Amino acid sequence: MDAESFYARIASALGGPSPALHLPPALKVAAVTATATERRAWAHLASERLRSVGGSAECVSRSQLAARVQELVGASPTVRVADALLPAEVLSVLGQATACTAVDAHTWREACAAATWGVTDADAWIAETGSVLLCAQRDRPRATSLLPRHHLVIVPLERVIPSLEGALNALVDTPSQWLLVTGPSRTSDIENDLTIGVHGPAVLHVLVVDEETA
Amino acid sequence: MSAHGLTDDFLQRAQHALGQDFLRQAVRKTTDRLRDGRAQAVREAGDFEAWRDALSASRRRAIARLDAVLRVFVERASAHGVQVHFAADAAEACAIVVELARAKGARLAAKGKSMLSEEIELNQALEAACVEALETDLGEWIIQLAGERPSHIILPVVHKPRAEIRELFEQHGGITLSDETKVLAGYARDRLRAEFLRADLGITGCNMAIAETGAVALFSNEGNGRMVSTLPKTHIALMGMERIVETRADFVDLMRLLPRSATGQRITTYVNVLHGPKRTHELDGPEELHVVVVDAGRSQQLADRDYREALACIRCGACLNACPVYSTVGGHAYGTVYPGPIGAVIEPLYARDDERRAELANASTLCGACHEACPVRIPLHDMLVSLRQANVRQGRGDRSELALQRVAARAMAVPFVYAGGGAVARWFGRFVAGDGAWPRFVLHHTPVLQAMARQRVLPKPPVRAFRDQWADLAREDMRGSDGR
Repeated sequence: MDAESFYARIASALGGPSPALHLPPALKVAAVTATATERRAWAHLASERLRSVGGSAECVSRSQLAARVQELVGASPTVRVADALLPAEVLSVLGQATACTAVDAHTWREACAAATWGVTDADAWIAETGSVLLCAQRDRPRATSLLPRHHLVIVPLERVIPSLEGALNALVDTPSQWLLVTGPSRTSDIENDLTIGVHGPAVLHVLVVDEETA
Repeated sequence: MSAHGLTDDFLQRAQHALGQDFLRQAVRKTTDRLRDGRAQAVREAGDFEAWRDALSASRRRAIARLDAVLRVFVERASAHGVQVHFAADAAEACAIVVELARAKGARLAAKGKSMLSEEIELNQALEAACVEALETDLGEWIIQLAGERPSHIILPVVHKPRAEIRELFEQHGGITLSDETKVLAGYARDRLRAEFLRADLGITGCNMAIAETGAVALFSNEGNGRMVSTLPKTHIALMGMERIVETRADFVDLMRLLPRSATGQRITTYVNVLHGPKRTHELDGPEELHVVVVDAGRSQQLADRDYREALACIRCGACLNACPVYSTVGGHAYGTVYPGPIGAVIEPLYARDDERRAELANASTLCGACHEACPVRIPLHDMLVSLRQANVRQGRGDRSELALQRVAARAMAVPFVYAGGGAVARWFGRFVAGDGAWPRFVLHHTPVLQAMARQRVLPKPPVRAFRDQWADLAREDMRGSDGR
């Protein structure tokens, strides 16, 4: 059925066509401004909420970051987002990892399917639910956080926000996909018995980087 | 039809369900768990009622000007490169998908969970066109391997014991497995992973579209929805035409209410919002994103003021979990794609001449628990009453009961006839049943009683009518207040 006939059917069901709807194109709203203390409180809440659904999170200083990433990822096969999205010291310990900017689409998919860890940044980390916001882009392909069994998120404290409204407002333009990830993949389909790690990653770990932490 | 307006078919399915101990306990356990989860989430969220008000209003607003809202959605989604198709009915929807599959030379379609796909019987259409349709949601895959239908809209396989699931998997893989959930889920993960990577076509439903940004949103916990909307070259999303909100702010309310109402989660593991296929320089994501907007009976429902509100449904399943009938007999007894109170309302509206669907209005106690649980406050119990009225007007129902009801309606309008009739009925009851149970031969051979007693236990006949007792109580009350 063509679009106009389809609309006409709805209009006739409604008793006549509705006046045109003027929705302003999605507005960009100013980012959430907050003090570091407020952000830390949000980060605390976000960790709690993430933990309650089987994820995990910790706060690290810039100086501890590289060592912590090294400890977690080690020499496992790893895929990661582009250089520009990660702190420089992380790049040095992820020397072996496949960067999305270094390969073609085919190699990238193979690398993701074979990887144990996927390392990404995040556009926001949300206190209300503990969710990580990831917008797809050239430097941050979707499969980084989908195919590997473990997903490591490295996010600066400045991107911790209180609520879901903030997340939607944080969107720049319209990415091809935006995604909220809240914990590891799960199912209760078999006899109501909760299992972690069905199709998506079984581990979601967030490292929030607090510059001022000693 | 018998006196309660249910056919032998329904009663047989219900009897069958009640006779299976595992099913009965599993359905009860599941609905209890989901209901408790929801109650817990409601207690934790201080703003729950305010979110309900907001979402109830925004859903109704979008439905009330659906044509205009869809226009905005289509215009903005197209600007992102989404290709939108329109299907008047199930056959047209299937034809669109099959044609796309043909054009792409697709051999394997990996599917995310979609009730609309069940509704239009897409899998059968794809198989007929030699395209393998593979369900990838764990529960749906099990249902597919068993050749069954989902019994709950969000937990499709609640009725199946793990031993049967293990047997299905063992037959499928030609291997031996244990009964552990981890082992069974792990088998599904390994087997389906290869299929995700091999599939040419990914097919999903659409939990909600957002007109403001031209987006299609998918809520999931397992991650299969992300797989099928990321890995195959072509992604097709099936969207019921009413599944749309106007703005991102409306969508935030949905993000808060859908998971809480369905399972008690604050949010599902993944909320995946798509604005078109992958952009030119992106490494992954589908090259094409098609959205098929499906009517299939919905515009009929929209035209009917009595039932229009039911289009606000967000398919959370809260009304199933709250329903005493559903939580006793489970989903298969309904014999339809959508079970429970919402199914009993929308199924007959989608196909008005279908006797089997019409009877479902009677598979309810009219207790109103569904309305209380509904995140968008659809007055399901009122709709069920109205569907029952329509059934009577159309002459559906047991003749002897209809005759009795007509007589009763007349009698109740005249107090002394009502009182006299009641006295005669009580006398008759006491005469045949005394103080005990009604004798079988009376129940089986008296026309009206025969129908009424088939699935019910008739109460012992009272010695005095309630209205006589009431008069006494009122007199005592008067004396009490006099003496003060």
